[in-house]
Amino acid sequence: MDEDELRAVFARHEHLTPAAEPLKAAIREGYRRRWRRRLVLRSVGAAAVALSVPVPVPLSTVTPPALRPGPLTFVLAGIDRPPGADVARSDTVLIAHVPAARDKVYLVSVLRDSYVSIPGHGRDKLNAAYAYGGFPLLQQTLRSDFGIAVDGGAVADFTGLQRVVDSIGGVDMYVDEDTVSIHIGWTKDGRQKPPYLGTRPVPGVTPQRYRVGYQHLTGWQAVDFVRQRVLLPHGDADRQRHVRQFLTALLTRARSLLSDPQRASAFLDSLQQAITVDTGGMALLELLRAVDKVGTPIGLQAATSTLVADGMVGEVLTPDGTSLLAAVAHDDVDAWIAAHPGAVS
Amino acid sequence: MTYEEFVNSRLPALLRYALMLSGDPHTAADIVQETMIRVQLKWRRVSRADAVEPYVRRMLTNVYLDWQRGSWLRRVTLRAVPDEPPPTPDHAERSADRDQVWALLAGLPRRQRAAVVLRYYEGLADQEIADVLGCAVGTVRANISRALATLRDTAVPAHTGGGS
Repeated sequence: MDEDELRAVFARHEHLTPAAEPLKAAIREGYRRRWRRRLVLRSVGAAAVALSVPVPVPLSTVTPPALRPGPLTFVLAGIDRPPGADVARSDTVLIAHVPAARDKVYLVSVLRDSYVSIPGHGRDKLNAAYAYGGFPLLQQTLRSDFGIAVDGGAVADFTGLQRVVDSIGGVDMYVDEDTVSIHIGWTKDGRQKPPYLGTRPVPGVTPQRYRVGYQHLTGWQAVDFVRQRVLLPHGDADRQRHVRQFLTALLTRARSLLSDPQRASAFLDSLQQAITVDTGGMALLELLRAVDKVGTPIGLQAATSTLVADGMVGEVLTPDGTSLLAAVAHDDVDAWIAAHPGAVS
Repeated sequence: MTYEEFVNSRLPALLRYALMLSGDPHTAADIVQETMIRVQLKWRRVSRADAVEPYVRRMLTNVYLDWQRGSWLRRVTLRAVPDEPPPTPDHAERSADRDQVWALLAGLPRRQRAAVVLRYYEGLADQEIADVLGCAVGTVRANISRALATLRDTAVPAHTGGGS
């Protein structure tokens, strides 16, 4: 037995090599099945951790768990932790609501300065709830004040949001009013510097601007755009509308990813790494698909009127604002919109 | 490199390698299928490797080495189609001794066979083989010489002429 003879034996049997083309389909199918099973295991695992009880893992299951029947309500909170501060406030609170009919998705903003009753802390602004007790207290506040049962939610800070946007290559969105950044500007020699101190312009610094029209925004631009509030004519109301438009653009951009298992998997990974997501035990992908299927979100805002008392400025929910939140709680937003033409933005 | 590009360019080579390891086209296809599913699931990690193909070859080798130990194997290999009989062309008699070697290879312990295939079919250096198999170079050489001894001892009595 010499070595050349061995080489010849191998070479002579090369013709038995199976064809590559038919195998590709089998690999694709096997991958899809395995990938779906992995999602199930992951979400079941997450639920088990959350409940701190062992959950028998259904190895035979190849389909993700069905979404819970009935309406789905998620709270999306954008938080801001200023440098050096040890508490974060929720600057943006948005309720994503899918009715039991699963035919629409509503994005309802609640202004951060809206006065609410925070359990254990009396009347305070909504954004204080997060600072006092994090996401659980925010959730509890929505339940005790408005009867909204929250299924889960997501908490994102600026860095996380920026990473998500960059992971999908930016967003394309319509900027509906000229917006000047108070956070990001440029000196003549191209260095980045804050263009405003409070609302006072800093000489020699040109602020970053977002002009009316269709714009492609990268991660930092998108985050900077949705942060802007104080220079806008309607302040937080304008900003909340921008946030809703941004989320709609994000969903549109994610749409093409969700149909492709491999890219969807990468997107979900980056989403879960960058922001804190609580899916309430349901598979994130299935949730996103359910939201995606019903099309463009319908934006609404819980209306408030400005209140000045004891030198403090806040917002008080108007009867319309209160009834909108009650409509979310009772899964009755359709009827509310019919009774309030012009509220959709 | 994207996963698609990798599959399109390297799948035939991986199938040839799997065939030489297993000695059987169906097992080769199953091994490659299992490997590529794993590769695709972990593509981001795989594609970050310094050299993608050696990394995948190592994964494939491990799938082969573990092949009959896993319980999932039975599920995968249950198939209605029987193995193709080897072709019996006119020169069957002339190549009988070589086909005998092919059959003997199938009887070798897996690590020995993998080492032989990596050296004489894939043409790797002993250090590279050691990397693939996750063992010392000395172990590689011992495996190969033991394999060659087995092939020689078993092949020679059956065919004293030494081939053609």
